[in-house]
Amino acid sequence: MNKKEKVLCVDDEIQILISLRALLRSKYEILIATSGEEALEILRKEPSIRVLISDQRMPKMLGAELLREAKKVAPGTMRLLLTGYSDLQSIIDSINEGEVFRFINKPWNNQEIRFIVDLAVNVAIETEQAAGSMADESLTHPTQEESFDLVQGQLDQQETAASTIATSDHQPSKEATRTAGIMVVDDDEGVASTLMEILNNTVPVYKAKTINEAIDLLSNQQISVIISETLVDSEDATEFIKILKQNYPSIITIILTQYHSADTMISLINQGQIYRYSYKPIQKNQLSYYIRSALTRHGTNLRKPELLKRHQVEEIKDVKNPSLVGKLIGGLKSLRSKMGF
Amino acid sequence: MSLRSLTNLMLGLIMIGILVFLYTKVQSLNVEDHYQITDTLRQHSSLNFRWNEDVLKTKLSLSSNYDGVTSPLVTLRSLQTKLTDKLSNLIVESAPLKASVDSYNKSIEEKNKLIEQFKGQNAIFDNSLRYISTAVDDLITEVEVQSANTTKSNPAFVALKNTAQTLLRELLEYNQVAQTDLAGSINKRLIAFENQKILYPDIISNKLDTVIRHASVILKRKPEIDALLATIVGLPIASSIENIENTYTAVYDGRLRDKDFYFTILIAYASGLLFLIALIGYRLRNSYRELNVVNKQLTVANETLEDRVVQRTKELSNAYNELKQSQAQLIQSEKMASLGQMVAGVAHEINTPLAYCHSNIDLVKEQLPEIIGLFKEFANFPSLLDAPTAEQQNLKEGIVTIQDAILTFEREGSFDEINLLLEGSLSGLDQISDMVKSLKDFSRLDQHKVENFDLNRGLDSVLVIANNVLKNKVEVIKEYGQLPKISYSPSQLNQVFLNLIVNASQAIENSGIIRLRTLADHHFVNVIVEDNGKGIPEDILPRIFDPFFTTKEIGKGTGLGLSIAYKIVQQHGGKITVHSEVNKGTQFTVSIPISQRMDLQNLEVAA
Repeated sequence: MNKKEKVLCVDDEIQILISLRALLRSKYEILIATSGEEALEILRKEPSIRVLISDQRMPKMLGAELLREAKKVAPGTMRLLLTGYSDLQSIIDSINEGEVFRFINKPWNNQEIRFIVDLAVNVAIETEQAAGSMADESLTHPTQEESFDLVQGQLDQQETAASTIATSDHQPSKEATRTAGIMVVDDDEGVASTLMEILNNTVPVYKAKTINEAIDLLSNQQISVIISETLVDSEDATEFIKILKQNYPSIITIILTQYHSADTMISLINQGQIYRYSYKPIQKNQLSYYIRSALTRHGTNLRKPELLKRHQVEEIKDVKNPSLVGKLIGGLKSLRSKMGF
Repeated sequence: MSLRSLTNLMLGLIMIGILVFLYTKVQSLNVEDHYQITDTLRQHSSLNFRWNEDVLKTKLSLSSNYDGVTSPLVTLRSLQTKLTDKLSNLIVESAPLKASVDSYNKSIEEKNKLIEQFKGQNAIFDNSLRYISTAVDDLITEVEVQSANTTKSNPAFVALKNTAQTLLRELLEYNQVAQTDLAGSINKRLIAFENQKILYPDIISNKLDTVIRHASVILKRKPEIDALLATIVGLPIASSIENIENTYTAVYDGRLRDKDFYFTILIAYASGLLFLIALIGYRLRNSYRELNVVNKQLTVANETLEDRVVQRTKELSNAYNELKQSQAQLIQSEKMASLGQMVAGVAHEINTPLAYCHSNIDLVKEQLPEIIGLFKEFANFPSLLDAPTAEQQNLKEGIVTIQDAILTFEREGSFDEINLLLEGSLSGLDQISDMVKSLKDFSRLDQHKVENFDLNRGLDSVLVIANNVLKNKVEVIKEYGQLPKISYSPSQLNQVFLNLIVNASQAIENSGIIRLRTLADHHFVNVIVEDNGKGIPEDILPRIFDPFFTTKEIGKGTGLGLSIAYKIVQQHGGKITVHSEVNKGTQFTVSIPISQRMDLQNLEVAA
């Protein structure tokens, strides 16, 4: 019999742990912890844990905090968060700091949880080697000046990565060597101008005021990072973001929005694997930091394409705008061929 | 007195002071004095002139005595005193005037001295002059007597008689005009008489001697007196007076100029003041006009006041009704907010047991077909037992399969697990039902007022409701005392306690303790909610029960929680008090009377 992969479940409610163990133990070796501290202790001792499932609301250490610490201790472990009644900030924290793979709503569906855990375990195994390279992404905020230098540094890194692909890939593309740009999908001009201020012409910035414009830009330009509002020109942009991620996982998405909803955030993670979530008014330092880290991640993903599996998304349920999907996929096909995928 | 009016008073005083100063400066020149001085000077001048005239008259022997020479002195003295007196002020100011007055005084003294001298000299001279005619007459008479005594005519006697008469004539002429040649002739004649004296009889010689003596006096004194008079007349009194007049005029002119200067200033200043007064007057008039307008308006307003009062009263009562309505709405929204809080808390509390119950039952259900399969397999056994031997093998295999399956179940702990899962689900359902019971206890929506209710139980239900807020953060220490059962409205008092407990937990920043104490005395049941949170600053402590007072962000709190709590407790005939220390904690005490008479009508409003 094959050795079972390890899954760590964390909740202060013992009944939940009993249920989760009963649910998953046939396929996996289940480790349990009743607090964040205990969970971190286990993670340190057992680096081979593939998946961490944590409750959000626990005494002393919240789930979001545990995820953040777990990312440092065990970067290869996929992180899932159980949420019931959670405040917005803890969800934002688990996206930005915990880089959560999936949110699981309480009460959950047993089949769904099994499916997610299977997926997460597989991804963790497949990306075991590459995951180590993500650990070096520092989480400390650099100063403003530093961040500009770093942006430049990462650009160099990104280009090196791109040229590596160009030589090693089976379908070399001329476009790939060109510096990829950042696309801002927002009808508010402020975001793009702040971004240009931050980047200081080191990276091209493309503005899309509607989703159609965004699709056009995607077919014509190389885009590494997208900064998007959730509502653009009174159109729901979240579907666009999700479809984009599904079809082209290497593009990093940052949400910068003035509309907050826990459900939207959860679906953007589960189906859109957004990289960061931030809210308006723009905090320049934070945005600068997120951009820098997104460019780094993009570079890392280019060097280690298998890491993209860590950002696999769920099937999009209840597509509201099927024509958009068709259009997007059409537009993205040309993009794909251009990018050589 | 305000600083402003003090300044105004000072300013007014200064302005009047300046006016008085200027007026004094203009008035300082006494015209009467000026006229008296000039008059005195003129009198001086004319007196001096007359005096000199008198002196000259005296000299020419036109006057019989020399009163004319001495008598003006008295008048002069008085004039001099008057002048000196009048000029005394000016002398101090003007050195040239002083010099001229001094020199004038000196001249007067000089003149006085000379006149005294003249008087002495003139007495002897006058005596001789008066006596000379008599002496000459005596001589001539004696000569005629002697001639008569002698028969023979003596020519010498005739000559003497003639010469004596000539001498007298010449002397009188000399007295009129003291000519030098006449003096020489007189002198020659006197010398001739002296020489001829011995030629005459003694009696004549004596008479002649007398004539000679007096004539000599006249001859000798006359030029001296004349010189003295000339000196007297020549004294520079007139020029002194003139000098005084000139210097005085200069001083006076100076003063006059000063006066004119100050006068100009006074005029200008007075004009300025007048303008100012005019301005103030203008403004005053305007103010009066405005006052009049306002007065008129006031009169009108007064007239319409009654109507307006009626109108306002109507508006106010409308506004009051609206306010009452909106207050009721606000109270309702605060109730909804606490209800929302409660629902959210309960939802979360229920969510967790619900999640594992659901998952557990689902898992058991998953295993159920397998177990049912086993049972069905068993169900086949009786028929297999009756079957031919060939099929006995099947029975054996079947038993082994079932045994294996059961062993696998047992090995994997599946039976225990099913038991565990179902037990867990039951306890989860108990938890949910507890929650629902607490919810019921908390709100008692089915009962408006509950008799014989245990307040401790009410508090427990509040704690369940608030658990969502308290969990992971606050340790609740319960110190419940024996409480008599009281009658109260649970949904309302529990709302009060929930409010106090939630507030307490919000006052605690990271983790802390809430102590819940209940105790009863003779009349009251007391509930003390105490936290060790950040406390309430002293300056806002008196306002915490005010409606709409909140320290939370706009939109985060209605500011009605505590004010409604206050009202509810008040309607239960109780009271709510607070003690707080910043950074130490806050303690709310709710006291409810044991035997109370609830104001049910008011309760309806609050509810």
